[in-house]
Amino acid sequence: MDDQAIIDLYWDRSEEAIVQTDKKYGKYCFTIANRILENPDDSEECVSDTYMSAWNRMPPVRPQILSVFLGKITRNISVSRWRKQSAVKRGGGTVAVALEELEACTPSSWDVTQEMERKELEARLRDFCGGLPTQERIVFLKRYWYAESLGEIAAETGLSQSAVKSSLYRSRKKLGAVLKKEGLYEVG
Amino acid sequence: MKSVDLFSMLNTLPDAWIQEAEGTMARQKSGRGRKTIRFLLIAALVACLGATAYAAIARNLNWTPEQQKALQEYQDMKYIGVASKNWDVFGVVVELSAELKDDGNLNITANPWSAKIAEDTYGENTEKALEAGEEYWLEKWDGEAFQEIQTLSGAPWQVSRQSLPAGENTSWTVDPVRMYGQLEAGIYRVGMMLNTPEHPENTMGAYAKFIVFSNDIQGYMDDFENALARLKARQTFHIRSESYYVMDDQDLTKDIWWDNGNFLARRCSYIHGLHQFQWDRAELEWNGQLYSLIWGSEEMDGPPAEMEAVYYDASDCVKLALSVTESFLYRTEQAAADGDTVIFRKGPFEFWGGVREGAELRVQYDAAGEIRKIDYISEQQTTAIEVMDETPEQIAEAIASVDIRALPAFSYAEELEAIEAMGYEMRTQGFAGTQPQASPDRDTILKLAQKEVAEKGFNMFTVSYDEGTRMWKVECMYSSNSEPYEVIYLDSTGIPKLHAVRPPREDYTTEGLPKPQQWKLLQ
Repeated sequence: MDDQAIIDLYWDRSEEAIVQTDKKYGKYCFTIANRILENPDDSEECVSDTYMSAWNRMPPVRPQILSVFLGKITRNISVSRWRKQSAVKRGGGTVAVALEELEACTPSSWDVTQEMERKELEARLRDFCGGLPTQERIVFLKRYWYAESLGEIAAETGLSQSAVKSSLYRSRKKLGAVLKKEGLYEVG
Repeated sequence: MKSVDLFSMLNTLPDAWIQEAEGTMARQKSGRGRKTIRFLLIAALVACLGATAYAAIARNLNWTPEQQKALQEYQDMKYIGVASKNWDVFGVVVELSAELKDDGNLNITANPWSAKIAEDTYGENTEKALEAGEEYWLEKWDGEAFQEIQTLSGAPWQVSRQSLPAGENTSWTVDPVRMYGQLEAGIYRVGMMLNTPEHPENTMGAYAKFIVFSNDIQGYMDDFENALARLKARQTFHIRSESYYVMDDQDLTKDIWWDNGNFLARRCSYIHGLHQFQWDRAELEWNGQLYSLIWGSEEMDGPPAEMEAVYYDASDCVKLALSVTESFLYRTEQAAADGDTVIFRKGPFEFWGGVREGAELRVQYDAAGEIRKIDYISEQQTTAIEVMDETPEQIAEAIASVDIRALPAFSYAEELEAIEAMGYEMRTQGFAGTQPQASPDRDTILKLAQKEVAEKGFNMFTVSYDEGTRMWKVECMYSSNSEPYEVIYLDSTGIPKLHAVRPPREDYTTEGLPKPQQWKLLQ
C-alpha cells in the first residue's frame, strides 16, 4: 500500500492504518529503536508507542515522508527511554560508541533547556549538515541518526570501513569547528 | 549539554536528508516475531451499587462568613470534582484533593501546601504544620446540595490523626468502603477537621471532592454525540485547539479554526519537535478562485513563528479539530456528571500488543446543552478544544481579515545589487517560460516560477511585487532547511528575467549569507 493510502487510513480513523504501517514500516521502526536500545522487548514497545503517537497525530498532521515521520517518532521515544535506562546502567553497543564519538564535538556549556539556545543550535546543525557533501552527509546521518555500525554503513554505501571512519572523523571535526568557531560555546 | 542531546537534536534535520540516508531500511519487509507485551497490574474497579442513606447531621465547620462566601464557588460545583481546593486554615494554606482508587480506597493529598507569608493569626511569621483530625465523613451531591451520608453502623468514621508537616507534600489513604459499603456513582466529598498542632482546640472543616464513575454511560454518550453533531452542522463555528504531546517530544500545536459556511481558515503556531508542517497543502477558495498559501513572515529561513493556513474542505477541519474526541468515544467505559461538565473515562486498553493507561475526556456544556470545551487527557497528550463564543458576524469578520491577496512589496533594483554583491549564481536566459501572459495573478506567477527552479522539493514560497518596475519575485525554499534558497524574478507578463541561487556556504565560521532584504539592512 502506498504511503498516501496509509495516511488516508489514519485520517479516516481506520485501525487498518496501524496494520498497514506495521506491515510496511514495522521493521524499519524496530531497527531504529533496537539500534538505540539493543533490547528487542523494549524496542517492540517503542514501536507500539510510535503507532499510538502516529494515531494521535494523524490527523491533523499529514506527513510528507511517512517513513521519516515514523522514524523520528521512534527515535525520540527510543532516545527518551535510553536516557532513563542509562541513568541506571550504561551499556555498550552501537549507540554508546556513537555517543562517545559525538562527545568530542559536543559543546558542554550549551543549555538545551533554553529555547533560544536550542533553536540556535538546531539552526547550526542544519547549516552544518547542509554544507556537507552528499556522501559525507549520508554517512554522518547513517551513523548518528540511524545509529548504524561501521560495517552496515560500509555495506550500504559501498565504501570501505576505513573510508567510513575517515568520513565520520572529517564530519565530526567540521561539526566541532562549527560550534567552536562561533565563539559562543566552549567545546567540551 | 551532553552528546545524547546532540544525538537527539539531529531529529530536527529536514526529512529529505533523513530519507536520503535511509538506504534500504524503510523498504525491508516487517517480519518480527510475536510481540512481547508488558502488562500492567490493573485492579478491578469496585462495583458501585447500593442505596445511599443520608444522615441528618449538622456539623460546625467553624467557617467565618468570609470563608463561607469564598467557598461558595466550590460549593456551586463549578469545578470538576477531582479538582483540588486551597483552604486557608488559620493562616496556613493547604491544597486538598481526593481520588477514589480502583481498590476502593480513597487517596487524599495535601499537595502542595505552604504557609502564608503574612503574619498569621497567632502572631508568628513562620511556616506551620497542620493536622487532619480523627473523624472523617462523606457527603454526596443530590443534585442540589451535598448531603452527609450515614455510615453502615451509624458510628462516626474514625481515622488516625494525620500530620501534615510544613512545606511537604503528604498523601494518605482512607477506606470509605469499610464504613459506608460500596459507593454508588456520583459526586462526593470527604470532610475532615483541620487544626494547627499548637492549637488543637481550634479546628476548621475542609473538604476534597471526588467522583465515583458510572458504567451506565448511554445517556451521557447520546447527549454528547448529539451536541457534537450539532456543532459540526453549525453554519459557523470558531474552535481553538491546543495539544501537548508528552511521550515522544514536547510538541505543542495550537490551531484556531474559523468556518463561515463557505471556507475555513486555520492559524497554526510553531510546532516544535517533529517539524511537520501542513502549509504546502492548504488552499483557500475565495470568490470562486483557489488561492495557495501566502506566508507573510519576514524570516523565511526557518519555520515562521506563526503561520496561516486555509482550508476549503469543511470535513477536514472537523476531523482535525475533533479527531481526538471521536477516536476516544468508542472505547469509553465510564462517565460521571459534575455540574456543567461530563467526564468520560476509559480504563487501560490494549493497543497493538501493548497496554495503555486510561484516558479522560471532559466535556463542558453551556446552559443550552451545547459544547463549550473538550479536554482530552492521556498518558501521551493533552488536548484542549474550545468552542469560542462568537457570533457568525464576528467569525465572518475574522475570516475576512485573513489577507490572502495583498502582496508584499520589494525593490528589484536593490535586490539585484545585493544578489550581485553576495555572489549568488545568476541565470538570465534559457528559461522554460517564454509565452507572455495577460495580467497574470499571483498564483499564475507562482506556477511559472516553479518551472524554473533547480530544486524540485521546495515546499515554501513567497510571492511579492515591485510596483515601480512591475516585476514579480518568487522565493523558493524548504520549510525546515535554511540552506537551499532560490529566487525567480519575472516581468509583468510572467516572463522570467532572473534566476538566482544562493551559493552553498564553504566557511562554517560565518553566519549564513543574508537574503537580499537582510543584506540591505547591513549596508
